[in-house]
Amino acid sequence: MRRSTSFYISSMKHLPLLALFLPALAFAQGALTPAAAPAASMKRLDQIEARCPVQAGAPGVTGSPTTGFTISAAGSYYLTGDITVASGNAITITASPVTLDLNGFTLSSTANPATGYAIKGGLARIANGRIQCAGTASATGFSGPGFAFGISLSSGSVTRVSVAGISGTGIGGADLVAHSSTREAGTGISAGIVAACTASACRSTGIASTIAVSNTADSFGQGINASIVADTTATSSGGAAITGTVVRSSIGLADSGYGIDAKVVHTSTGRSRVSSAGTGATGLRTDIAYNCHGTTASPNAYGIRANYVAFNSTSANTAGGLGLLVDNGPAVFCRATISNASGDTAISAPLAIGCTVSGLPAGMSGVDTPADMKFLGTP
Amino acid sequence: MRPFLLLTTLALPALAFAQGALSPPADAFSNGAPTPTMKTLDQIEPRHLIGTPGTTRTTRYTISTSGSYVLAGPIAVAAGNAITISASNVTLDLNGFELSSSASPKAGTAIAIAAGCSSIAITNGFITNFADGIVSDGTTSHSIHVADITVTSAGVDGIVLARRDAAYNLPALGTSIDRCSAGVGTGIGLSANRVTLSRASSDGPRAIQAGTVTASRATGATGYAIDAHVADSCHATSNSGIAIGAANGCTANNCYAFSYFNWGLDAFNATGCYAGSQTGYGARVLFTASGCYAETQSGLVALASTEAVACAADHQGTYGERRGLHSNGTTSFCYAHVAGSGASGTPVTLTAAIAAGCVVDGVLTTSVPAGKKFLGTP
Repeated sequence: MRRSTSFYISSMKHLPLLALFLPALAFAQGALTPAAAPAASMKRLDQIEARCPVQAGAPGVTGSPTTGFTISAAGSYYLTGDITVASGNAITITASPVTLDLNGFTLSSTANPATGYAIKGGLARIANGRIQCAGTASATGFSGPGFAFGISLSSGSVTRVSVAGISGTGIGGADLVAHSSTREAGTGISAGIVAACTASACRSTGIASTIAVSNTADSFGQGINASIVADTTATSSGGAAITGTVVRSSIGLADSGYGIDAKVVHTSTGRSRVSSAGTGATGLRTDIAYNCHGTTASPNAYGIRANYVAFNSTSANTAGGLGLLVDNGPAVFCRATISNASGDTAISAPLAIGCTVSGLPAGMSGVDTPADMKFLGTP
Repeated sequence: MRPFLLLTTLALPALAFAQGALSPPADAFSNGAPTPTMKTLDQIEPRHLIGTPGTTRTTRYTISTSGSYVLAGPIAVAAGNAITISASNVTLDLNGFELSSSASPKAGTAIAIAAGCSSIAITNGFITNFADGIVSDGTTSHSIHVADITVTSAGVDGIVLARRDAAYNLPALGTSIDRCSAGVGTGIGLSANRVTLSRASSDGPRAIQAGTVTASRATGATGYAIDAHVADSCHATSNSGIAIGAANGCTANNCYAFSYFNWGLDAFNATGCYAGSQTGYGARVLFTASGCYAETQSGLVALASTEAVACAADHQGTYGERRGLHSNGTTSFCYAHVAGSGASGTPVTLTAAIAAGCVVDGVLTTSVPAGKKFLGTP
């Protein structure tokens, strides 16, 4: 037993002597006779964890948990504890590619005003941890301590990371950000593909990407700005909730600006809660609305305004005024609801087919389409 | 030494954490003999280690036995493959490390899966500067799953786990690629039965080739940026190739497809897509298009489809033969536009066998048989 134990020690690198003896004797385990020759049954500790710890003295690593670390060699790294800096970056990566497992630990900065990067790198994959600073974002700025940037990469991915308290961009530059969140930031997440993420309490934009699927975003500015949006909920108070090219299966709620603004919108709801005047308060602004609902609270805006086609959609204006506008094409199988109406236009389209209106005074058609371009029961 | 230690060990846990009984737990003994209650290092990391911790290996490895393997460090080879898998039922965790090659011209495959080897999972690492990243034979090896791999500067192929047959079908191999990225030269970026949340760029025939591709991005390629039976919420752009399509049928939903010199979208069915082109068709949809927007600057047709519902077609060219929405079946509830006065070329804004509830704009010439126009179609 003693011989076996001492062999363990000789091959171990960092553990204190006492700690090694403790478990072996405390639990009184195992047969006293070695199963085989010691060499064949042993592993060095770096064979158990071949990745490199982010600690001073580890290859490729300099710095400390209070001044931040620099990783200057490509490789695979993991954190061994929290990092809290008073200024500058928590982790600076100067080599590519690097894989960094935050190992569930937290990076934070007490710099006030916020400066530096939590993680700055090139091509890297970052996962599994938290960036947590105390600063908060508002519609007008950022106050309190934090980083100026959360994770900033040139390419690569970020997964399972939670970010809060960043005056600039929470997570930026990655090809893919998934299963992550940002809260209290300038821009929440800016990446190629953003999936299964949340961005909340962001000053300017919640999520900016090429593809955004299965996310939620709320922002003092814009909610989500992406070419492709699907399965997403977004709210905004200083711009459009969802801006995109194609949008499907989503909801955008805006206190200022469009609920949804895109070329093609399917099976989605755009809602603008602005009560003041202005065309920016249209619920759903699009080229094609298909299976959609749009609603506005502005007398000078529309529930839905489509350039070309509104199909199987409903539009509501809770402030009276204007319901559904199709600028250049048909309104088909649509319903428009307006309230407080005194001769306002529920549906305006050059061609209206199978449409209905509600909320109008008796005897008013509410559809400004020429009589010979109304079909299938359109009033 | 021994009595001291014994004392320490017994006393420490009780005092430090004020916990537990002094007598050993019941399961510490079996028939009066101590039973193993601790873990060996092998129990902590039971997987097979490849390479040497803290060292960049230049060795070329072959995995010839089923099992679970983990990389201990980067592998940088001067020629050939870095890892060859010649067994089935293998899990390989690159552990965040990189496989690289210094061969010039680029040669070898970072991880080559021998023909017939199946049920293989590869995750978590980087690959650079090989001819190919991860490649199986693509016709017999099934159940190969690759996730969280970034391939950069591949000479030919990125990650190819399925290859089309002569009839352009992908064999049913149950292969998948998740959260991967590939930048490749003359070959295919990513190819598998299912691809999700991935990105590829290629100068070769395909950037992404798949049965189903979801929420992924593709750029480049001379044939198709995305060549898939189903493309959902994908973004594809190409210079000379078709952005999204498939030689034997593609269903595209909620996609963005743009090609400068070829078709934006070439699908059997399309719903909720944007498709555009500079000089080609915006979209050619062989069968049904619903709720799509298609545009072209100077291609022949903005949107061609057998059946079209609630679509918009916008041809922005002002000269030459040009078509807005061209359907040989029924076009309903659509908007079609062709720019220009109509004096130049032979523009036709709407062509259909039956047209119902359509609006035309710009050039007002249509080609719909008399008596087959309904619901306000001019």
